[in-house]
Amino acid sequence: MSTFQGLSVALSSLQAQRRAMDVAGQNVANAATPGYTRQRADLVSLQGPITSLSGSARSWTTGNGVAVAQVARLTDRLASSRVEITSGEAALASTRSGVLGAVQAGFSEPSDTGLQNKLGQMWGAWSGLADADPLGTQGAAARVTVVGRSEEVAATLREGAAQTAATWTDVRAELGTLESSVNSMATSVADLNRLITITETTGAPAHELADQRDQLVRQLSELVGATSTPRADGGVDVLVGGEALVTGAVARQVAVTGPLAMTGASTAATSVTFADTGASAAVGGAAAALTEALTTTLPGVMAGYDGVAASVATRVNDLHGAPPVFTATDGGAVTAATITASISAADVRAGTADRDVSVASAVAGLAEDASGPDGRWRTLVVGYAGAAAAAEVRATAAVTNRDSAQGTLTASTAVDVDSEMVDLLTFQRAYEGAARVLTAVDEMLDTLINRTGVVGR
Amino acid sequence: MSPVGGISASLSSPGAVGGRSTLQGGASAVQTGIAAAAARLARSTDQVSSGRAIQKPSDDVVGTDKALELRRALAAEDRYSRSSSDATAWLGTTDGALQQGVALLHKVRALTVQAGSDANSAIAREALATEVRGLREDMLGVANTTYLGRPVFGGTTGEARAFTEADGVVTAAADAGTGSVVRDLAPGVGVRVDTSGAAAFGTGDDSVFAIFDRVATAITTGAGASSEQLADLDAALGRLTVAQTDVGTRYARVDSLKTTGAQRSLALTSAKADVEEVDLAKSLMELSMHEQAYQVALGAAAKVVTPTIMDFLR
Repeated sequence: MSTFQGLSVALSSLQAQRRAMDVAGQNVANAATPGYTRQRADLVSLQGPITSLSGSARSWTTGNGVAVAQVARLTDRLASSRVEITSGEAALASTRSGVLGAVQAGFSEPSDTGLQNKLGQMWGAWSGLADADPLGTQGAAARVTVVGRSEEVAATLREGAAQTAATWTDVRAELGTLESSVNSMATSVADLNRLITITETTGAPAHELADQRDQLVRQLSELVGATSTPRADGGVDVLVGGEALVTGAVARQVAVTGPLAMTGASTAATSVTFADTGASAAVGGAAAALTEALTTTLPGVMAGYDGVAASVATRVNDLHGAPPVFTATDGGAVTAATITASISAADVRAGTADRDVSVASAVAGLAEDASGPDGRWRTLVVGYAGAAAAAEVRATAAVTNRDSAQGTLTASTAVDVDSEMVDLLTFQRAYEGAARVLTAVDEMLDTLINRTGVVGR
Repeated sequence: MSPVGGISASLSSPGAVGGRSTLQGGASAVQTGIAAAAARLARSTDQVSSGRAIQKPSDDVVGTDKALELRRALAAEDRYSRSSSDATAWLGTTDGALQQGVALLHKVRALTVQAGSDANSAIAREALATEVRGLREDMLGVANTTYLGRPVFGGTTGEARAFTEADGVVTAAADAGTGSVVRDLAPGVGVRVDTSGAAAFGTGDDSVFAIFDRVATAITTGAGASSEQLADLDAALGRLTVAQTDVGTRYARVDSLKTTGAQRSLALTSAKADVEEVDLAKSLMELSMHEQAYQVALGAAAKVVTPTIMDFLR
């Protein structure tokens, strides 16, 4: 063995410990960086040179010091994929709950300004007409009240329809933003995959790039329920509903297909498709909740409003006879968006002749009809309240689940400052030890080179 | 080179993944806790400041269902209460008119008996006859009593008066088979508030006006009132009394419906308050509880997040 092997062993240690301290420093520096995955310098002892197979030489062979075998990125694949799945579910449940919340806010029930109270006031107005002298000034006043209250009901229904359509437009806009975010993120993931592969081919670690990429994949999970599978070349494939969105360095694009504005209860379906094939993507995450809102929920709410509007118009008009009290502004069938109390006060009929008030009395009696407008409205409100309550519960559970998955991932991949400090101390001491070895070898060489032959002089 | 467990790996609790306490993990756990406490506090504050237990339907689905039904029922009670006030006024007016009519009839009967005495001079008889004719006009006025412009004995007639006089003959407009005036006072309960003028005042020769005419004529001619005419007067009185009793019965019915309606309305109002409004004492207690929980969460966060080994290394 070489005389100077001691020096090179000490040097290898100095270099390795410094590298390890750098890694610990990088960890501490990123203790608060979101998405950072802790790294570890894996030290390995080096085999000494095997110079001879003869017994004496072998017995003299010592190790060649230490080296950093690799800087490992301590990911937790299981926890990470659980985070992907649970954040998709959490985003789906929260967004769905948000949409139903907006629907409920549109009902503004139970309150003094809700449709239930307005209906009560309208039946009250008809009852007032039934009690008034149809031929006198009271009757005239009561007719004006009937028209006013009826228009109030019509306006509340129109407002509900308009609000539903506005919510639809908002949701559609959100889905549009989501589409462009997903496309740019998919492109970024593909770019990062390419960079990581290139970097790792040169043997250098690309851990920080991988952190960035994993962050993007998690955002894609929230947006479209994406999941990832690792590739041999260091990249990841991103799947949406089992179909590849990103394959290595190649990204596909998604496109939202469907109408751009709501056309009442029969609004056509909206879906997310792959731009290249046009095939619809089985998206999860927020995109699933948004398409569901556009295709099912909001048109369903609109159909509910339409049902109440049609019930109000048909039941009152049937009892009242010509001219109808409620008509559609567009001349077609009465819907929530078009209902209006178009009748003039003078045309409101209290009864069939003279001072007869049978018509007004019968209309006022609709309030007691369980299958009348009141009942339909109550069914609509309570139906969506139940759905919203269930969605809230599911959203809370899904978010808790995601937080727990996130917690598990953080616990295994984030930086524990205490242990990093202890690592740092350890490496520092090892470094000091190596320096001490260096001094000892130096002194030994000093003795050998400078003092040989001068002993006893 | 295969990854080999280095120094750092052996130091950082190998295997026990969940056991690692990281800066980010601790911070996000604390954040979640504080956010949850803040949300509970905000909800409590909302409830107390608005006084409403149901901020949105999904807060209490069953409660919302009840609240909507109670609101509908309260609106109905409101209608019934207004209608019953109207019915009371109608029947009250009718009862007053019938009382006056009965008084007039008694007066005419007394005059008729007085005119029957032989001691009366022609002039005195003429005076009595004039008085009877005057009372006949009064009776016509009574029969045409109106409530808010509507003849109470006219049913659903479109005329302004229930009885019209032409050529000295009074006819009831209500004779033309008009409908009755009904007020809805409870679900499915309608009470008639008008009174048939024909039934109360009689028709044709039996009408109280025709009888008064015959009596006046008999007094003028000095023939004196026959027992037949007195019997006619008694029959007319009987009809008025029957009508009055009928009105009284209906009045009592309206009154009792009104009372039960008011009771129902009270019960509904308190039920609605139970469903829709917060129990203030309970909510205030919850509010202060949540406030304290929030502060504790903040305090705990301040203590938990800070210390690391760095604080102790020099």
